Amino acid sequence: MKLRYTTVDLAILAVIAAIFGAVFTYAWTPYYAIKAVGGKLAAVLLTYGIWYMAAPLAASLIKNPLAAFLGEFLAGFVESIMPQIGGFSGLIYAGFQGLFSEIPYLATRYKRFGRAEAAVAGALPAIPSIALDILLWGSVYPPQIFMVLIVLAAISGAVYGIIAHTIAKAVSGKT
Amino acid sequence: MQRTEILSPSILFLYSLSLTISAFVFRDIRSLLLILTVNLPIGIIVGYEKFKLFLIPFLISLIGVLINALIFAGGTPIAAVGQLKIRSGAIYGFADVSLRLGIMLSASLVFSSLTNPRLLLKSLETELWLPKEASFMVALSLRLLSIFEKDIHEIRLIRRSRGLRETPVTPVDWKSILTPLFSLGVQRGRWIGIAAELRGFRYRKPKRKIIRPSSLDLYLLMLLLFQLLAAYILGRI
Repeated sequence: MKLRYTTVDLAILAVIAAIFGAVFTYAWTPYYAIKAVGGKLAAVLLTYGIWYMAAPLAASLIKNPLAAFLGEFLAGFVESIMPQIGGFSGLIYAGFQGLFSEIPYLATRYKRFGRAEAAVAGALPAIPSIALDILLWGSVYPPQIFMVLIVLAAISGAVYGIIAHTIAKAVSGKT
Repeated sequence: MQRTEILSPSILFLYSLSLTISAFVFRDIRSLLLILTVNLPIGIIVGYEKFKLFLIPFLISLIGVLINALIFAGGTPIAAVGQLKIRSGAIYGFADVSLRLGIMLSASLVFSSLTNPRLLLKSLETELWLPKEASFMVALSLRLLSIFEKDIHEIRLIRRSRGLRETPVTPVDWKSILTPLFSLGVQRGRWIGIAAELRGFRYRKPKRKIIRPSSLDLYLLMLLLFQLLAAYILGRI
């Protein structure tokens, strides 16, 4: 386990941050569209995982300690410093989500970067993400709703985590 | 003299980040109201001209908050509109969440109006001693962002011409958008990384200086300290 990043690794992390910086902003359109048609629960199930995806993708591509955290955190930082109405909330969410995404890779001592780890790395950020939602929205939604949301967000995250791993595998195979 | 030369971007970043954190941390509605009362006027004064379009999504989000509060919040019924009973929790919940969102909007207006991402990055590296690797990644991301936004736009056009959903809904839709994006992106990243290495990135020494806050920076920090302290005391009373 070595915390060694080459300049190419840094550049790929920057690419991940840039792509997800753009995707995170763009993803609000489908989120609100689905929410309008199918309600909040459907929107969470179908879209929340997108915001957790940068971490498993970064880890699957770079296979280094802290890659998951850096991938998520950088994407959140880039999203946050661009003018938008949420202040630096994206950075706060991304920091905690990135830390939780790091857990499955840490648990394997950074020896395995497979599909299962990517699914868990996609699912775990649901915990801090919904916990932060509770701090913001706790006075509106009852606790039962948050319990449902955390499960749906974790399922969504796991699915997008697997997709992230598949994309990383496809892209690594080509280069 | 430009405003950006007076206020340090790092100080503005710390100010706006602290405001955003306060929107999560304070539980008392009076504390939130105090912070909003101080910062929203500042945000509107410095940012209305440039970011008045922010008010539209903000107002839409407030409508969303109101609808959610009316549907989900509990408490005793205080009024009825047709079939809909308005509960006390809905009024409180709407006020509480709106204040939090308002504080975040204020943080955005203050930060985005008085500085920009590139100045912030330069300032973070020189004044807050951000490692050069981190500033390289963020600078590169900012440079690549518009390229990938164009790529997303092109992929959407291609999807439309093929009769596919332009706006992704399912995870499979997202996969079909992200795979070509990353296929291009990782290639770009590899070559940019190699080029940076060949140009001696590893040996570049970043310029560092001790942060010397201007009087305006100090006023801003004092304002931050004062309002956070006052909000904390209000919350304890």
